[in-house]
Amino acid sequence: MAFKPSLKRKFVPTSMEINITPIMNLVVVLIPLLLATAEWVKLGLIESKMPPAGGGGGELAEQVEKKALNLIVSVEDEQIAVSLFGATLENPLVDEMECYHTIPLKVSGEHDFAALNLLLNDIREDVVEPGILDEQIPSLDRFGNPVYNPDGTPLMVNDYIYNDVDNVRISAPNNLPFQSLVSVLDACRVYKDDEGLINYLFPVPFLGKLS
Amino acid sequence: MAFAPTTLKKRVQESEYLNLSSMMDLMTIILLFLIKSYSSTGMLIQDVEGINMPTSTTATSPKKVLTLAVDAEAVWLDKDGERVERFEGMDLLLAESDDPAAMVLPGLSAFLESEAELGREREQYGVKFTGEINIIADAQVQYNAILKILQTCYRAGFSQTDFVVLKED
Repeated sequence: MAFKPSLKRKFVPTSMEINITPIMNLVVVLIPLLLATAEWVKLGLIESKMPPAGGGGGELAEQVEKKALNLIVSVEDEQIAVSLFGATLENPLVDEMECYHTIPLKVSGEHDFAALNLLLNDIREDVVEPGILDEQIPSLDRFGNPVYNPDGTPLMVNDYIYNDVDNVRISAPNNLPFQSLVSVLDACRVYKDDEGLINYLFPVPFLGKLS
Repeated sequence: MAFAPTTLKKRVQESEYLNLSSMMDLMTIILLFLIKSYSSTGMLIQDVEGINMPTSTTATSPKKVLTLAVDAEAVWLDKDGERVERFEGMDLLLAESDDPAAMVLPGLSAFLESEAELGREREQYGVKFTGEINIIADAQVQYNAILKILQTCYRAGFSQTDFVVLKED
């Protein structure tokens, strides 16, 4: 004998779909908000200074016992010349160290800013870094105010035997385009190695005329 | 007499709804793109129309301070991307001279000196005058013109001169 059909209400399969309308509402609100706050053109800033007038002031007088690195980058029509400790083309040696370097133009006729960056990194590592003194000094910002760590303690940085360890004097011909000047400033500021590590080189440029 | 029932197939009422899945895909992509270009600080400095700024690897972001714009024609006072006051033309900016006095641009100098004086007067109200000034210059502007503007700024009391550039990706 066959069973009697069940009297229980049969399960009716319904189409299961996620209601995405609230998510759509959220997204529609978020998009105009993000559109308003989006940064389409990313602008940056490069600091620059003029060479100090005269033969130095009180600040230099306090540091009279220190040496001057006197790093000069001269962008010339046929090359870039880099000089340390006042070395010149005629007298390139200072304390038996080669202190006058030239970087010729690339085959394309443009200045080789990558080679300049590499040379300045070598100068920083081989000439400046060995001159670290034992004691550290408080770090100062561009306005001469002390810089503090997040915990409120003063940020201490290395002291060097050179008093112009972050400075570079840049001279160039009158007709040098501004883009080339910015490329020189970039090459003088930081060095980024193959692994992406950043070395600060000479981040305080003083602009002057080629004499 | 009643009509005979129609033999035509009856229209089955189906629930109709808009399929939003494809729109969701689109919205998700737009959302991700916008989140990537999101800036919490916003644009403090507006780029100036007609000035093709140089590109740089700098990571520093510009501050909103007094801004000068230098195009192929002249040096201008810039306010929110608009050139509002014209100072010296390119003829004077590019003129070569051995006279150190020729390195100072008189029109720009007069304006900057008055601004510096105003800035120093505001110090009594607790607003420190920092002597900061931004320079937005075209990539093709010559070094001589840049030097003259820097020298003029420096002499007028604006010793913190910064160049505004486009960040390289």
